[in-house]
Amino acid sequence: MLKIGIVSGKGGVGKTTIALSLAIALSKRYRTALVDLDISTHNIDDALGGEIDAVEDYLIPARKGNLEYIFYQSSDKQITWSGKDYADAAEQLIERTKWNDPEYMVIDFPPGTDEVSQRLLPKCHAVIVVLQPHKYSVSNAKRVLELCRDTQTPVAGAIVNFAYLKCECGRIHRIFNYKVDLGIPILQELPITDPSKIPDLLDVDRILKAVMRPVILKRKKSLLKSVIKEVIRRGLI
Amino acid sequence: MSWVRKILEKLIQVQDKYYPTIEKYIEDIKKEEGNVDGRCSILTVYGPKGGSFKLMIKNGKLAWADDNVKPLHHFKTSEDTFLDLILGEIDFQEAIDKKLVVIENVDTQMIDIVEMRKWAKVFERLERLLKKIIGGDVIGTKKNEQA
Repeated sequence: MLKIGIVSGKGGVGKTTIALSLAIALSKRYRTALVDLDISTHNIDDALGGEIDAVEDYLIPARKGNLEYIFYQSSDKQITWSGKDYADAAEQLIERTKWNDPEYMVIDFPPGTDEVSQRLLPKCHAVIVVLQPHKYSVSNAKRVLELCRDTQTPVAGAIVNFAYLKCECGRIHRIFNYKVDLGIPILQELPITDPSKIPDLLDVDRILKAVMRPVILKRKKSLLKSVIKEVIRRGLI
Repeated sequence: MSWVRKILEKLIQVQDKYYPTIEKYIEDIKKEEGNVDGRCSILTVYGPKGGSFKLMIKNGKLAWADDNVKPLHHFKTSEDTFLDLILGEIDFQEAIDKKLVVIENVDTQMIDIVEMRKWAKVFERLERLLKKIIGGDVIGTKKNEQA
């Protein structure tokens, strides 16, 4: 089973929409699992419905065709857990669910670089960063990539959501007009559209190809270290 | 015997009538796992004037706890909170967060979301059942009244 982590630095960029859409698209060909690790503000159940059961030592995921999915089922009340509690619960959602041998697992991470991401990102085979083409989203995506670099988590690439608007007249408008440069491959740019159309718009083959060959981001070289090394090598001090 | 316990006795009886069968996937898992008896939790409910009763979950339903059970988690609460739980005034998650249900004898410091979901589901069912009883759908009171 290949675990694909869907991450974003910033909330509200369409991470859950992409995770859900990718899981739906994959489930048309493969046995697929979808995990919503956004414990306190989960949305997978809003989109797909379903109930989670618990039997013996397991959580029983909700199912729709080839897609089985799990989320932390709770009321609308606020959850007052610590970061460790969230990470423990998130880990159990993956580890203690009775899965039906899925080929792919799409994991929807909470936004940011909290304890859930710190603990569980390194367990993914590849991570896809979701962002929108504007300054804050790109800047926060870089923070997530720093976490991937620090934890040596393989990165498949980025999906740019809300990249353009296709007008009825056929013209493409780049509303944000902001250059996305993260130093990782851009797997796809998606238009501003009805979220229910995203599964059909996703280039699943390209995404899977990138997932199979992710990159591990190299740790940044320290310029100061290199200078000192060179100074010593030349015998200047 | 407290009146909360009396309600509970009735609910457990009706629950067995209303949910008589074990769902198939529960049976499948039990077969596959060989009835994992070790994993269970007990809820002790304390009355305002002393006295208590112990509950557990058997086959997805609320049941009186066996004396020989060695629980992994031991939840404790008051009759007042218990009543709120079966009435749906508060949910299990919230009750734990607000320390209205406390957890003791836990081996690990980890929140066990499987056990929490089991209890939450039982209370969700009881709430629905209680509403049906009040509405007269379960014990046929509506029918009798009409007759």
